[in-house]
Amino acid sequence: MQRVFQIFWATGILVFSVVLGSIFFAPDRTRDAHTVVYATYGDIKDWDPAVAFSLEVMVLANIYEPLVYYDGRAGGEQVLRPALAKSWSVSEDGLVWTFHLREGVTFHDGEKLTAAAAKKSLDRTITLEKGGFYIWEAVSEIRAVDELTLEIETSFPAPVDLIASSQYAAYIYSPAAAEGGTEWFNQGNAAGTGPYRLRQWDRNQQIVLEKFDAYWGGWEAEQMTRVIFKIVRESATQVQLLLAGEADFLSLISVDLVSALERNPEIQVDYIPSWKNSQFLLNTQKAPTNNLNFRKALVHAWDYSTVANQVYAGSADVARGIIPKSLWGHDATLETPVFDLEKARQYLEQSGLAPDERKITIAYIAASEAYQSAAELFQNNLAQIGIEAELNPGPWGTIWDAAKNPASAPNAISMTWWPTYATPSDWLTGLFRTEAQPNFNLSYYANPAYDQLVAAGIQLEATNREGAIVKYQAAQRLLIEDAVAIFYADLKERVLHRADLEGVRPNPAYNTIFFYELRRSAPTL
Amino acid sequence: MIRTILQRLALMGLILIGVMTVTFVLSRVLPGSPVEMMLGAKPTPEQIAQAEEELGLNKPLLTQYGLFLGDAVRGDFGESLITGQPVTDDVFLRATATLELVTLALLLALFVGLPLGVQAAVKKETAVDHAVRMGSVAAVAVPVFFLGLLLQMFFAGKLGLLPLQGRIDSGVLLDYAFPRVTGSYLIDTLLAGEIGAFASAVRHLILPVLTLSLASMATIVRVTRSMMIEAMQQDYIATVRAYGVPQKHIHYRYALKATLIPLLTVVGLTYGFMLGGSIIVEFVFDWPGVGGYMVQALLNNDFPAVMGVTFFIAFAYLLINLLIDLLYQALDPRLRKS
Repeated sequence: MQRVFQIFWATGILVFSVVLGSIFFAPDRTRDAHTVVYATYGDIKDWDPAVAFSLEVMVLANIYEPLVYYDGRAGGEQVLRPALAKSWSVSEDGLVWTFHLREGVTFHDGEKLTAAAAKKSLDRTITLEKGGFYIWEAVSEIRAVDELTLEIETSFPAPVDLIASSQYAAYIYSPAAAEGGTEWFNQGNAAGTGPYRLRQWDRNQQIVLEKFDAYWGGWEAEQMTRVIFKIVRESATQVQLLLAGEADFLSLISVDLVSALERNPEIQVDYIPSWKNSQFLLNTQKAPTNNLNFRKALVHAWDYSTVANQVYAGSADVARGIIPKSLWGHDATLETPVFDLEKARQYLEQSGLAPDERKITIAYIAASEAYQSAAELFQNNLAQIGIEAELNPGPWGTIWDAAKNPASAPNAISMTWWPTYATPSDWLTGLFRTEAQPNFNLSYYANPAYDQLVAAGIQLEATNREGAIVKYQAAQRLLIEDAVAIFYADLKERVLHRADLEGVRPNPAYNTIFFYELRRSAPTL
Repeated sequence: MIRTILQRLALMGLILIGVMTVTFVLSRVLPGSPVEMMLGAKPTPEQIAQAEEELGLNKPLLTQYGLFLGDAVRGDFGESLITGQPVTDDVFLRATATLELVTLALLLALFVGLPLGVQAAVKKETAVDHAVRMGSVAAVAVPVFFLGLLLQMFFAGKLGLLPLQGRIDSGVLLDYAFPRVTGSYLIDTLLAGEIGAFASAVRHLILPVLTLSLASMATIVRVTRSMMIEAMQQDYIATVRAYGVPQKHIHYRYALKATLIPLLTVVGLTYGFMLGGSIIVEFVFDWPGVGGYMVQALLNNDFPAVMGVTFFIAFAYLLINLLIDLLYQALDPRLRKS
């Protein structure tokens, strides 16, 4: 018995000593002034830049580069900057685009950037038919004219400069990597030309990028040499890491915490206009929302300013139409509905619907607090004018499936949209162009006049962007007249980061932070 | 004995098939297709149709089930639609993280809970007993996520002594190379002789282990106490006492033995439950375990992952139960004879 007690105490003392020793002597190597830590809530699924079509761009945009960058920070003005192509031009008929590539650019695996390499990369992306490959649908042929000249020919005039600036399916990667295929990428490999190369991917824990010494843009002493994406799924833990200085950015932001964090001098909160906007699509084929006057009653019963200012707590502006004001093609003169219950009542009377027919169903993503609060406010306002609204929250996969089936489709469904590349036509075609089988046109909108306007705008984008804008504006007016959706919020990106980081200027065209642009004002160590 | 084991193993197989069948049917009949989540932001109808074809989702349910069983028998649960990795790899990676956490938490609970339970029983109705009972009630009553957050705020936020989250320090993970042999960082770092990485892994384990162990520790204390009190009233204890055997021996050699069978039941059930139920602690401390994987799989209709993780948890639970039953027989000769 004595021996058992001896073993018990000896084990206890040993474990206690190991624990104590670990607390005080374990190495802590996370921080130095040139390391930036981003607390992210999800791991990477698709490492293949030809396939990635989701949150991966946060990481990939620092490893890979497109031919052209779109600078969305200039507001509604269209600004394109050279990336891997230092200049480009288009033929008069708008069918042949010529890109002159930079000299002396190398991929992370040592391969040289040539027109042949770029062609191989784009050809693979297109033929793979994954992710956002369809942005290249106009392309008929890609040619490597000489070592650094790339020609892209299209079957109809298409804005290839804008397409080439996309954050999806437009990255140029090493030809050797292309040979490796998706399997090679998904083992945690990457070979782009960007400022950072992938150093480590420890699944479910962290992704580490390190400076690529041979980056064509060069390096200065103050820049960030290491980027760590730490996977932290709890919002509260992310906040604690930020406050403790163990993370520089966080990705999960609880609205309740923002005001408290804003008062902390060590934390900075930036609100940046994004290209994302939110709307409730109204089903134009299903009773009672197939009645135009009834839909007009709905769009006037939405309290636009309360939703933008209270529900979104400053992280949204009231939308004016479907094209956000931060993108070219936005129409500031567009007359959009305002919150007016009296007017809503009038339209309701004009609808001729009996009181027992004034019932609608509203579907939205259950996990979104903003949708939930906005839908409840809407339900209250509708009740005041005698419309009964049934709220049907659910996971996106479920509500989307139901909405695509005319029999189970709701009268209104939440939607947040952003373009695959910098074009207003993405909203106009994706959400409202006539579809035989609805995919995202969950308004079930079918208007030949509208379809013609949008098609004409797309044809003009390559050669006459002003002309395209005129067509898009006319198409937008039709959407407003037909009350196909409640366009209520242009969203702002809320970026929370340590205040000692300078150069945090997110570009709405890319869902990422460009870590190459950052500096730390005063070293923490 | 061997016959009993074989019978139990056969029964386990049947139960597993039942569990997998029910899970398969439920996951397929509930609304929502997994491909929308799998294909990213804005898939085209053609991409959706192609993905459904590739995954076999457009085949009749029975055919899908047959294909699933054929692959599952070979240990192939397919690729997760969310992580893009083979489900068996994902589950191994996650399960070993959970096993490390849960095993240590249970060992700590036993190491502390057992002596406390004995002392509370021996010193029944004294200050020690009251303190132990109150402590154990409080430990069960405090919600796990709240306790975890409190510990984080105090030891990480206030004192800065312990890390907030994760299995190991980011820089250590980068700079210390240790092959993942068993999946347990404590063992793998020691095998590689990386003491710095071992120390970092220990630091990261302290708070989640403490949080997870507290509730089960309280249960162990309560069960040990009540069983000990019952045992102490038995005739054989009075006899041993009459022989003048020292108190310590009476308590630990004779009375405690009688508590082992019910205690084993509690430990077995707790261990099995914690494998799938440590989810809250995993979330609070960002422990990349199997619980978080399960929730992510369910929320995203990740069919292959749901099946893989269900298989693992059901298998582990059944195996633990089998081991406990075998241990009963080892501990109690009467059960062996029957």
